[in-house]
Amino acid sequence: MFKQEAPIANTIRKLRFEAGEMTQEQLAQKVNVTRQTIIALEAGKYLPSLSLAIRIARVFGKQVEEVFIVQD
Amino acid sequence: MLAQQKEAILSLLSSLVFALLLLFVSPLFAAARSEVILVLFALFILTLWGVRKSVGLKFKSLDEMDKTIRLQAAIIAVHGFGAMVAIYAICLYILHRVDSLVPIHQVLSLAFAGWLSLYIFWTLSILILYRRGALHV
Repeated sequence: MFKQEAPIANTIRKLRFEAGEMTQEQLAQKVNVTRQTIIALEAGKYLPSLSLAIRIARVFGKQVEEVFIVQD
Repeated sequence: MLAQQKEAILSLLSSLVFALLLLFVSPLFAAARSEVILVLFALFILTLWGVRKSVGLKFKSLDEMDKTIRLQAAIIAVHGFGAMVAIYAICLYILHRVDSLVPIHQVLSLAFAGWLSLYIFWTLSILILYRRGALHV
């Protein structure tokens, strides 16, 4: 079975709260995915496509590397 | 619970019920066993269609994680299907190698069992991947 530990961490939860306590549902609507996907992303259970990663970073006005951090 | 998970649970249960019917009910109709298997096969396909309709799953509403999970589950299911068909075929060879004749109902059973195994592996994988997460590999 595939290894299920995310090699890339993210700061989505922190950024949501810094953005006026944006809810998961609001973020999901802004980037056109379901709330379950945002939950999975925050829990490190799903790695987004490049397209979704860019859309999420744009919502917070950040660079992709500031939202998604490669864990060496 | 998501519609995708509901569909997976109901399809898994349906697959298991039809697997039991194939194993234990079809042998009771020795004279028309092939026809019984074909009827079960048709009912199974109708059941899957009914399950999808009943949970209201719309493919347009699936996002990229849902699609990733379904794709990864399909890859796992194809491997399970291949293994199951290979094992079944080896069993048929061992059972019928002397006369070199495989009864037609066994061939139909192989096809139906292969289809069932595909759905069992696929739905089980979907449920596990929603729980454990689907990382890009």
